Amino acid sequence: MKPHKSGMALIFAVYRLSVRELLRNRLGLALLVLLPVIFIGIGLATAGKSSIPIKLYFSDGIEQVLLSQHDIMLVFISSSVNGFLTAYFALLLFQQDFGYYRYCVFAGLPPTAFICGRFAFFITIAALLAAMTTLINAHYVPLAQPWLVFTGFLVLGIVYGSFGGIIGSFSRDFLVSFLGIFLLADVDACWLQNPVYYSASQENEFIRWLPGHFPIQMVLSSAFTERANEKAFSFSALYAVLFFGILFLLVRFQMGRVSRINQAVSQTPPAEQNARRP
Amino acid sequence: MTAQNACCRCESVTMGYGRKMILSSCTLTVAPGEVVGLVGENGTGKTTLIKGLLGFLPLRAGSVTVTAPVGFCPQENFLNRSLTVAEHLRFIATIGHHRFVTEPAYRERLLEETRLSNFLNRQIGELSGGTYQKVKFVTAIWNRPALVVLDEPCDGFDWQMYLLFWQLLGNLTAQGTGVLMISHLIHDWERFQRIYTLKEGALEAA
Repeated sequence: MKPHKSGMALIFAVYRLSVRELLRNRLGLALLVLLPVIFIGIGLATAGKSSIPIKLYFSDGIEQVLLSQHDIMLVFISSSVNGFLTAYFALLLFQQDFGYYRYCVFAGLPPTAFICGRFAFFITIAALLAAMTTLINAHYVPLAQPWLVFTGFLVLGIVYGSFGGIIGSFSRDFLVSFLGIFLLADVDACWLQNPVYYSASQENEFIRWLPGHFPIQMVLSSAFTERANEKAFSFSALYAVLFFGILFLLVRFQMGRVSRINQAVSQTPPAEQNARRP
Repeated sequence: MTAQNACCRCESVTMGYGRKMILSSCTLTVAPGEVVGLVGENGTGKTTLIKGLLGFLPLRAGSVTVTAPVGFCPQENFLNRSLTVAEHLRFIATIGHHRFVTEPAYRERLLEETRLSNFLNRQIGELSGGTYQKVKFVTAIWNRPALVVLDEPCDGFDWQMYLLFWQLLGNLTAQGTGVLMISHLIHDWERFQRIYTLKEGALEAA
């Protein structure tokens, strides 16, 4: 049981522990498989082939496109599943076992190593989920710009994941936090951002500023048109940076409050510490 | 004992939550190789004092000086349930690598003596209450700290483990480690070299 030596190894150690935590979380793994299978499966089984007019928001205005119910359903449901799953995994990362890592900071883990390792794993999860949903979509729908669809899913994951992490940082009660992410994902990504819903809604100014709007617009416009949606891209990035930044600051603040006694004491060289022992 | 050689010293410490004052002007020292008990009725502020001493909670007044690397066994169950015992202990060794000097033989002996070597590949979430407590205690002394702070560490220990616990603490104190421990057990009180009693927010040295 030899310990690692370099400072960089601490970041990898935190990353590796995060991977193990996820792989041993049976509910998380079950949701990872069941949620896409159930939602997309039900959608595929029930969606018709008839075309529906939907609105897409570009920098230069609104474009109305005619798309099949099947294609809209698939891309939209994938966005919802992606958003919810990343929020759920981020909740696990920044809420469960947070007390353990606070203890580890007390025992000598630099907060920066924890933050780097944990956030790197969070980005990995968001990227994996984005890749998974893009591949599922590409299997059923000819995507116009697959890489931008992937980027849209990734940004959506970062926005929703950060939201999940923020909720988890504020409330240590898992059920309350789970309800919080479930409500936001349900109301925003699963209902208000549904193109069939917002295209026909009377007043959609509010809908257009919710966190899910720009990433989902980016996914939809990249999936169904050849046009670049600069507005959706830049606002998605802005929301992602904003939410990610808030989460980062919260975690940094909470870790910074942990006692640094062991780190202060470490100013005494270890050899000297041993020499003090009789 | 002089203030210079104490591995932990808190002087005139005052603490509270909100408007409520919990501790007033508490002074306490732990010298190398000494086992000091902190006792008192439930809710008198023993854990609060320890957390203030270790820097987890802010002080309203007074000062704390800790001159040695600390191992801490808190009262609450903080261990990561997804990890195996081996993964957890390896991580604790990793993060303490630059701060503590610990020989591998010390850790191997610790695992053998506490019989945790049989549980190394077991997930912490699957451990019994007593074994979980054993892992918490071993975590506190895993890096062979020069000061050990224990908050009711014997909850759930069987008699054999209880005796071993004191034997291990004895080995550490013989090498100069100071121990500060909260306990409600009368058996423990007999083993303390000095006892501080917390009563109505004030600390009395017995």
